[in-house]
Amino acid sequence: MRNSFLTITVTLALVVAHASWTRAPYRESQQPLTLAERLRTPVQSYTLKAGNFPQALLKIGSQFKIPMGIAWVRMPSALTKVDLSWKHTTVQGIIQAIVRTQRGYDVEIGESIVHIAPVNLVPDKEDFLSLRVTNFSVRNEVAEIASKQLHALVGPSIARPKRILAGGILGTQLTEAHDPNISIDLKNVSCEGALDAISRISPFKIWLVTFAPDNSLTPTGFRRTVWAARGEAFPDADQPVWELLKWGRAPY
Amino acid sequence: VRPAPRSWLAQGFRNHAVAATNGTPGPQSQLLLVSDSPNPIDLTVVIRNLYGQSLLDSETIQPQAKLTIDLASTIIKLGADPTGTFAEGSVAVDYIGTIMPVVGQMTVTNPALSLTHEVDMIENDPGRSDIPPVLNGLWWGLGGGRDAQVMVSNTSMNPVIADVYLDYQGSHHAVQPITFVPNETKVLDINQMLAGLGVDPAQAPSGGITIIGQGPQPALIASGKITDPATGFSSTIDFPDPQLEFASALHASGLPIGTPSKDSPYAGDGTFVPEVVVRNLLGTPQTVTITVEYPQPSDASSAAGSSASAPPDPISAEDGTHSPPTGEYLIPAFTIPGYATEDVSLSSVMNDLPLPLPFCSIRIQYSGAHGSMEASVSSVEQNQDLTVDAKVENEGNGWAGSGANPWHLDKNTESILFLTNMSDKPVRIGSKVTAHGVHYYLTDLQLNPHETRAIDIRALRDAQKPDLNGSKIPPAATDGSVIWIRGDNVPVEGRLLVIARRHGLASSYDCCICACGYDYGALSVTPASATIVASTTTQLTATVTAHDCNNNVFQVNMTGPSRWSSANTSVATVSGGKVTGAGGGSTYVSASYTACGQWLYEPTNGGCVCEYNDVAGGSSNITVLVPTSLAIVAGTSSTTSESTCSTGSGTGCGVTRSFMYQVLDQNGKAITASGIASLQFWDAIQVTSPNGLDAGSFKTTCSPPNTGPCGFYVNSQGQFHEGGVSSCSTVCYSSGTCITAGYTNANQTIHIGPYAIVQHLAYYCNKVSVNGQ
Repeated sequence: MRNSFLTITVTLALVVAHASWTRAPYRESQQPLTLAERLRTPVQSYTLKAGNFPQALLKIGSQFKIPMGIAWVRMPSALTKVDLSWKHTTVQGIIQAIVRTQRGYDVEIGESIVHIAPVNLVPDKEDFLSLRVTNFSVRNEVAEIASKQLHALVGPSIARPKRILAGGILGTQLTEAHDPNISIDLKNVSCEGALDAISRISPFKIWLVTFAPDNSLTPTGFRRTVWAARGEAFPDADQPVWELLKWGRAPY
Repeated sequence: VRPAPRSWLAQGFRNHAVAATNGTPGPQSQLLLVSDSPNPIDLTVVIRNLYGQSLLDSETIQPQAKLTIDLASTIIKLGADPTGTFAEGSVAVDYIGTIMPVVGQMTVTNPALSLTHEVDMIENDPGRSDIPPVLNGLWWGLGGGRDAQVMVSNTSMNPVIADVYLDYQGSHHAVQPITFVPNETKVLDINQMLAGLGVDPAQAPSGGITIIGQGPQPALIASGKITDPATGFSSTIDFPDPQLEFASALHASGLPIGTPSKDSPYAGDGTFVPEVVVRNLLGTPQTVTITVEYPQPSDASSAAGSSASAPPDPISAEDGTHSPPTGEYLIPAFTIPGYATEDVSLSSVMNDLPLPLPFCSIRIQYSGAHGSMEASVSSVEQNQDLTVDAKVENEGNGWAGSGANPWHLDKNTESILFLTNMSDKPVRIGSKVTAHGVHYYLTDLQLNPHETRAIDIRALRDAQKPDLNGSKIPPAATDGSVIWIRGDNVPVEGRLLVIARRHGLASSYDCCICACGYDYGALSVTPASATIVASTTTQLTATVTAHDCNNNVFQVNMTGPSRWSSANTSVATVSGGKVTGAGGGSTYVSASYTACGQWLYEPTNGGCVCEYNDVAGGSSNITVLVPTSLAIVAGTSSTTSESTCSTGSGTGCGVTRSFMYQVLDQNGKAITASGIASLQFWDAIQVTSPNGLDAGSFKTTCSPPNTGPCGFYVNSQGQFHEGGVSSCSTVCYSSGTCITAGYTNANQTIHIGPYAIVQHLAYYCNKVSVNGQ
C-alpha cells in the first residue's frame, strides 16, 4: 500500500463541476500555501499535550492546516498521553517526532496530503486501503455521500455482500449546512487514493482509519476496523470503517 | 476625613512645580496635565521667574484628557523671553475643582544631552495644603563630573527663611539659612554647598539635604536633579512629603534589571544595574532590608519570538488569576548609621536572580519609625546614557494608589503603565485609557500579592479589542491619558513610564488623584436579556460602576465576587455568572454583592475607613429554547431521479431529495440563539413498513453507522442539511439497471444534542416525503 501511494496521487483525475444552486464549489485555490510550504513552517518553541497518538497528529494537522490520512492500530501503546516540547524545529519535524514515539509507523509526504500509517503492523493483503476500485465516480454530492458511495463499493469485498432486497436500499445523509458539493471521477484507484481525493477537494481534510488491536479478520481476510474514540467493534456488514474529519474536529 | 460631598466645589486649589524652562537651546520644559474630572476645568497657568515675576495664561482641560503646555512657546506668547529673565522659574496652576481633579507634572528634557528629569506638582489648596513642612532629598554618585542641583521655590506671598542641613559622612551639618522673597525660586548647587563646608564632592558622593521653612505655614517646595552631561546620566531628586509616610517600608516599581528579556518593555535598551540609595534621617542607626520582586519566568515568556505562537494578549493578560507568581529575592539586612546615606548597587546580586527578567520592583523595609528613611531607586544602563528612575513610594501613602498619567506613542517612544500591589492580598484596579475623547475601560484588572504588572499602551491600542462598551482606543492615537485607582483597601503604587529610545530618555509619571480606593456603586448584569438553547450555556457579566473621589467613573468586572441566583432553576441554573439552560421558558438570573459604598480618608494615620457598605444587585432575563421540531427551509429542496447506471459505479440510481432543515423551538419558531451551534446532530432510521425496501446500509448519518454523535454541528442559524434522503437504490449493483420498488414508511429520529425529534419518512421510487410534505 505504501509503495503505491505516489503513483496514485499523480494519476488522480479530479473533476469539480456542476455546483448545485445551493452551494458553491469548494476549490483548492482558497488555500494559499502548498503542503510543502506548510510543512517547512519554522516553529521556535512548541509544547504539545494530547490524549493519545492520533489525537496528537490531529492537533498538529488542525493547527498548521495539514491534510492527513492516518491509519493506526488501536494498541495500548498508542493510547498513552503525549506530552512533547520542541525548540527551533519545523511542522514536519514535529510530525515526524510524534510518529517516532510509536514503533512501526512511517510518514509519507505526498503532493497534497501527509500519510501516517503502520509499516508492518497490518499486512498489505489485510489492509482494505489497498483495495482497488474500478470506477469511483461522484457527481455533485457532499463529501459524506461520496464517502458512503465509496463504502458501498469497498464493503462487499470486506464482508460478503448482503442480499439486496427487491426494492433496494433507503437511507439518509445529514450534513452540516453549506458543506460544498464535490465531484470525483477516478478509475482503478485504491481505497486510500479515493479517500485522499475526498480530502483534497472537500472540507474533510483528515481521514482516520483505526484497525482493531486483536488482529481479527473479516470472513474475506481483511483486518477489522473499529471506532477511534472508543474502540467499539462493528459488524462485518458495516466494515470497513473510516472517519472523515474537518480540521479542529475530534474523532467521534 | 473626606473633605466634602462631591457636589461641593472648593475654590483656590493651586499646584506648584519648579523647573527650568527653555532657557537655552536644548532644554525643553513641558507641563503635562491630566484631568480626573468628569467635567471640563478652566485653568490659570501662572509662570514665575526666579525673582517671582509672573505671567498668566488661560487654558481649559477636557474631561479625563491630557493637556500639554510647552513653556517656551507660552512664555513667548505672553511677551516674555524664555532665554532671558524667564529661563528658569516655577509654575502654578489655579483652578476650581473637587479633591484632586487635575494632576500635573513638569518634564524637563535635553535630547541633545540625553538628560531628563521630572517634577510632580503639589496640591496647595488654601484649606488643605500638601506642601511639606520639611523637605528631605538625597544625592548620590557625586564626583567624577556629576552635578546635583536643587531648585527651591517659595509658593507664598510672604518672605520665608529656610534652615538648610546637609547630611554626609554620617554627620548632620547646618549651612547658612536662606531667605526667599515672595514667589522667589533659588537654585542650590550641592557641589558648591559642599565646597562651602570645605568638603570635596568626591568625599561625599552620597548624602542628603534637608530644608525647613521657618514659620507655621509650609510654603517651600523643591525638586532636584543629578546630571552628567558627558555621559547623559540624569536622575531626579525627589522630596517626598513626610506627612504621607505612614509605614516603615518603601517601594519602587517596574525597573529594568540586567539585560531585559524579550518580552520586557525595556528589551533592547541595554544592560541595567539598579541602584538603591537609602538615607537615614535619624541620628541613630537603622536596619534596612531590600527585597527584589520579579515576575516568575514562564513558558510563554521564554517562548518569545516563536513564529508559531500568537503574541500575548495585552488585555487578557490583565487577569491577575493568570499571572505567574511573583518571585522574591531577599538581600541580607544591613545597618545604616545615623544621618548616613548609602548607595547599594544590585550588581553583586544579579547572578543570584533568574535573569533575564522583564523588570523588577524593589521593596525597602527599615527598622525606624515611619518616615525616618528616604530612598532613591534608579536603574542605570551600563553606558550611563539611559537612567530609569522609579518613584519611591511609602507603603502607607494611600495617595500612591491612584494616578492620572499622560502617555505618548511614536516610532521611537513607548508608554508603559506599571502597577504594583505592595500587599499580601489580591487587589482590583479600576482603570481607563482616554484618547481623542474615547474612554476605554480596563474592567478585569486584578493584581496578585506583590505583583507588578506592566501594561503596554501601544499593545493595548493596537489590539483593538473592544471593551465592555464596545469602545476601542483610536488606532491612530499617539497621545492620551490613563487613569487608575485601587479598588481594595491595600497599598498599591504605579507609574507610567515613557521611554524615548532614540534619545535615551525615560520619563516617569505618577501620582495621584485620591487617597482611598474607588467607591462601589450600581451593579449591572449584561446582557440584560439572553436567549439560550437548553443544555447550552452563556456567560453573564456583572459590572460595577465605581466612582473615585472626583466622581470619575470606572467600570469594574465583579462577575466572580458576586452572588448569583436563578428565580426558576427548572428553566436555568447559574454559577459564577455562567447560565445553563435547563428547560423551556423564561426566568431571571440575578447577581448581587456587598462592598464599600464610600471610603473615608483619615489624614492622621493615612488609613481609609469604610463609611458604609453598599448592597447592589442586577439581573438578566433568560429565555431558554428547547429543540422541539424541524421544518424544511423554503426554497432549499431539490429532488434528483436517475434510472440507469454503470455497473459498479456509486451513482446513477434512485430518487434523492436534499434540503435544509431548520430547528424549531417549543413555540414553533426558528432557533438562532448562539448555543444552537454547539449542538451536534445525527439520526437513525427505523423502517415501519418495509414493502420490499431495506434500510440495511444507510441507517444513519454516521460513518460508522448506527450511533452518534457524528461530529456534525448545527450552524448558528439553527440549520443543517439533509444531504440526501435516498430511495430505491443509490448504487448500481448489476446489469446497468436500477432496482426499483414500491414504497415504504420509516421513522427518522434526529438527535439535536440531547433532544430527539422524530420525522416520518415515506419513500417511493419517484418521491420522498418528510412528515407528509
